[in-house]
Amino acid sequence: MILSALIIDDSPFARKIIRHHLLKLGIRVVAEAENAAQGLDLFRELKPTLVTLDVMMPERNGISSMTAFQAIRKEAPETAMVVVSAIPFEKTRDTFLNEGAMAYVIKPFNQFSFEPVRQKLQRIFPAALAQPPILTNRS
Amino acid sequence: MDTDSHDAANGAPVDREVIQNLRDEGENLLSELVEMFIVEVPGQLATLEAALAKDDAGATRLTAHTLKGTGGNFGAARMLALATALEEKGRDGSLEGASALLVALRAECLRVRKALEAEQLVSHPGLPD
Repeated sequence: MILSALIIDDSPFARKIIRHHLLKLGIRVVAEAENAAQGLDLFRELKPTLVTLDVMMPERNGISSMTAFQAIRKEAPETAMVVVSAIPFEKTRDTFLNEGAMAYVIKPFNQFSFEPVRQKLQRIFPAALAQPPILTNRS
Repeated sequence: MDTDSHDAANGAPVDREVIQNLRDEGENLLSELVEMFIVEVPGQLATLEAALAKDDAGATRLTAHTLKGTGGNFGAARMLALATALEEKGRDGSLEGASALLVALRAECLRVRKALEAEQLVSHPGLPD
């Protein structure tokens, strides 16, 4: 089984970095969206296993990141939702985690950013992920 | 003490710890991101300039937000701060002083670009000038 992912982020730079990290985990990125409305449409069409969602995107067509998040949670609660944000506030993180997000990843990314995602997916889909990389701390 | 993580506070155009993290990912990720910066940012700045010329607060907010995100991925603190200030002006619908911010942002983007090109040469020392 290969896990599939949809990346929703208005920054092409962030999308490229997230794609890189997901590919490292052995996850196939099936689509990218640059706003929440487009992301919600692609989600409904493709039904990916995992969605990464930037929380700080300008609203388009009346669809905000939170709107998309709640719609996906309601329509397909089994979807692994990874919220991506440049906001390290505990309150924002707790809001999304309480609403059912699998992980809350802070930008800018580093080699450890997606480790909580890997660990949680490993428990749900033990045979689907690539072997974990050897993580090292630079001194 | 890790001085790199204080680059932003010291006024460096990019955070070298963030850049090193990107370099450590291998597979030319950093080089590809630098190329994207060189290609994308001039167009974003031109869009922002056009938005200000038309006194279009909505377009100013959106384009400044994009530039803010671009800077954030490189730990470009001053670029991020200037873009954030423009985004807030767009959100408030008051573009007074925005032109001066754009001038400063344009200069900062150039500084970031030069820093990224220097980092790219560190990654690929054989590249021609």
